[in-house]
Amino acid sequence: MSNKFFLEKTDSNPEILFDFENNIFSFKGNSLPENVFLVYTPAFDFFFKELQNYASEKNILIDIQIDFLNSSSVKMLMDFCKKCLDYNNLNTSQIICEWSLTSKEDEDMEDIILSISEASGYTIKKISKKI
Amino acid sequence: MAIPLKDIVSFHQSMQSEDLVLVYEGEFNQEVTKSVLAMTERNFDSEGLDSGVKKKAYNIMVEVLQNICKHQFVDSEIQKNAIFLVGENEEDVFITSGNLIKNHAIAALTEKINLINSKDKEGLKELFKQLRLNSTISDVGGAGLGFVDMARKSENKIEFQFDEINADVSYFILLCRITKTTN
Repeated sequence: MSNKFFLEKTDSNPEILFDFENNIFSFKGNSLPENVFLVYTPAFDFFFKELQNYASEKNILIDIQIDFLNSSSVKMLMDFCKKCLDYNNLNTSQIICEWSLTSKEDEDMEDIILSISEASGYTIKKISKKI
Repeated sequence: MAIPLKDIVSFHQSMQSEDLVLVYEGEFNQEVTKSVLAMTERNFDSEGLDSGVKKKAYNIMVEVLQNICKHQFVDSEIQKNAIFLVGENEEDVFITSGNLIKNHAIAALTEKINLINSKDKEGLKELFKQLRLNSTISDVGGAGLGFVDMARKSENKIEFQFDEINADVSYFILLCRITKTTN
């Protein structure tokens, strides 16, 4: 069975890549699906199931490059972060989420990242990229 | 029945006098949402709207359009579609929607919006956080956070009213304003 999950980017959902073989994990694009459950549940189920088979001492770095999220997507990512926190509390290897701020007006996005961190208890690392 | 050609001019004048940029009436789905967003965004770009205001407007439009998609229903007797309008004048960008609602849902919705409108900026932030922690994703894929997000982004009170159509159904009208001078 493949240990890679890939969802192609569309107008509504980001590209999602969870590649355990090559240790590449990312979300790239905007997230405004009408039904967030349909987009994210298969991805997150795969990720946490595959984590159980992931015998590595290496940390897992998740690269997030999302410029826009609807409110339901924020909720889904918050739940994802809570699960990452649970994993980190029980394991030596750690899941690290790095969120790249790529647009020019990132005040809203910084606020969203902060509120996800506060609500989930999991710290997301912010990376500023020059345009 | 098509609009008589002679009425097109007055219809256009009405749109201008009411500062309307876009009006869509009909069935709403994700494809319509994407098209409406793209058209409005192009319109804002061509008018040189401030990028911060544009981003807030875009965010609110997404929430309003997806609310309609998730909660719209058709009543064959009433035959009244949902409507979505975007307008812009010197002071504000305003986003308005109208859609049918079951009367039994009005009390809970009124309570929810009144609670949101009673909060200041910090209060809304806290409410958003609490709702995120306690909400679950519904069958239609929503988290019930849309109205709070609209209020946070607009930085104005949500205006709303219900026009009763019959004993079972009303028409729910929602208006969000984004003040252009707000930073």
